[in-house]
Amino acid sequence: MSRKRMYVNGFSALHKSGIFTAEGLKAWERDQNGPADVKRDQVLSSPYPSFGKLNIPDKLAFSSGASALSKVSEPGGDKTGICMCIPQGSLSTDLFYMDSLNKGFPSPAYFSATLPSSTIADLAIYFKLKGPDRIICGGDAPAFSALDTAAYWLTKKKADKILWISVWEKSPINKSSESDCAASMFLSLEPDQDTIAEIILDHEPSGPVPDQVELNEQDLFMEVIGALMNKEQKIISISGSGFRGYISLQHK
Amino acid sequence: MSKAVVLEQHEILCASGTLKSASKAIIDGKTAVREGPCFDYDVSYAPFPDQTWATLTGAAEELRKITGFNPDIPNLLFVYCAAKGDVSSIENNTDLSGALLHSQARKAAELLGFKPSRIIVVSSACASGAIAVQTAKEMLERGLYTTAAVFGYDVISRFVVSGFYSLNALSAKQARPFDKSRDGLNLGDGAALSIFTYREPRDGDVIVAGAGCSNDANHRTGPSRTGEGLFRAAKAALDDCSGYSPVIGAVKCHGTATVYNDAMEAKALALLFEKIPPCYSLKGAIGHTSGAGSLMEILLASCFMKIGKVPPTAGFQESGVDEPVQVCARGQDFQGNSVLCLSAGFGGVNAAVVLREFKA
Repeated sequence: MSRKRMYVNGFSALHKSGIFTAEGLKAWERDQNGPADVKRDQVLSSPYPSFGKLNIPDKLAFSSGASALSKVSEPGGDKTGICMCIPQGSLSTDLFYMDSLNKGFPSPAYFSATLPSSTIADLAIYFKLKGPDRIICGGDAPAFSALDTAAYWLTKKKADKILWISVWEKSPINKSSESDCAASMFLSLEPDQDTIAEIILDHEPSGPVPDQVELNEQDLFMEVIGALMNKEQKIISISGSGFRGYISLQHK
Repeated sequence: MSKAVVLEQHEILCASGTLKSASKAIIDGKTAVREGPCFDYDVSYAPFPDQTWATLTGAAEELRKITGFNPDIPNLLFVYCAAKGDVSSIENNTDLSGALLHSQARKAAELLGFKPSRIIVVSSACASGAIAVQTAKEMLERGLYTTAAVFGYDVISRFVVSGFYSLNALSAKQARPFDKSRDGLNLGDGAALSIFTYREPRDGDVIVAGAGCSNDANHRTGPSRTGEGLFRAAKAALDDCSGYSPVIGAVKCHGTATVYNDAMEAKALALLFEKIPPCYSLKGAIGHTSGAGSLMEILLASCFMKIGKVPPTAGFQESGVDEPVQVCARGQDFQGNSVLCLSAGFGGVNAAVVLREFKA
């Protein structure tokens, strides 16, 4: 088993029901149609001119991350890393870029956003997150893999703090799929003045399982964020392709 | 003797062919870059010599055939890395699920005959391959898997060529890394497969001694002007080598031949070393093969270290960076026990891997 303890110092989620933060759930305004319509002043108190130019996956990642970091004393630093899961990759932006190419005017702005790693760029720039990065674009339980990497890096002192983000963009392939969603947690190995909860991650690899056995990570991590918001102690079991284990939350 | 992450088997496909033919061509100073047009753009490029490799199916099947490895590996981690991978379904407006990297990963694993216990897909633009090697290293060192297969695939497409062209990043001529007259990169086709295990190394084994990464936190697409981000990634990789005492005999640079990348990289090297070891870039020989390229270049660097050579940098004649970077215009002997491999990518990502030849 691989057991790791971390501390949650900030969190946020953009969900179809609203924005989840330590202050509670704030529903979307009437003119907003869910996470993709998030406004800058709902997640960030100071102006950020680039916000209006962000494509959907970048906007989801930036908004969720910025909201999680909004109450943190010192988010930035050379050893503050980012572990992000983005299973849809940049497919929606790829289609925008392809459309611009087919019209004879390939857009450099769209093209630069067709690399999944550019999704973290604005967060890194705005909050000076200069530590290690890992961008996981799918595979078995990608959001869990990103969280597992965060725990490993903290334990091994590769990073002092990690912003974990997961972006589940509505699929451009299956329009009836779940709505856009993004979740973030700001994690450290030791508790500090910002600490909200302790999180224990415990898992072990399992043997090959059929491809169709998929963990619904969006539901699982929204349960984690919901428990953080409601100050609940909770143990959430994980069983998916490649491993089994649990996440245990204890409020401070 | 303690265990290490050992590179057991590897093979590449690039514009100069397979590992054997490409390493020979590179050592001989040959280039596989050809003049355009490429998709109607006046740019030079480095395509596969056999265009049946230029699909995910073709590349995976060829790699399986020429390596002849037994894919029946228990407790296997499969790491797929690509910047864009296969974008043909986007270009042709067919089944878009084929453009998703995790769909490509499952397809590649199946084509290679693997039944992995777990699949991880990493995409960090042109640093994807190095980050994938780091991912495999971490998972093996933790004892979660006994073997890791890292596969990378990125090919020239209208999508990618037009994008880099729109950013004014491509050269009409052969790329000239670190040269005074450098004016951009050449895109190339690339695919690579490598198998790593965690065991006690034997004489002559190449081990992944260290790996590290960082973010510039500076710009979405452009490199930092200070080199500080790449310096931190390289420093992290060297710090990760504890116990292996690396003596860096060469630096395999990212060396894209764009004005700003090479200037940044020279600054990073000057921050890192009191005396900068011999440096080389492979981009003028086999093109820039994006995310797969970072893996492919690590595997070529291993090969050059094993044969005791620092290859020439095709396209380089006269230094065009301010720092005293000793870019090899001609091949030379490799002095040391390790090679430092550097990569960088969009999003401000930097990655570094240290390979060491093990001597008992």
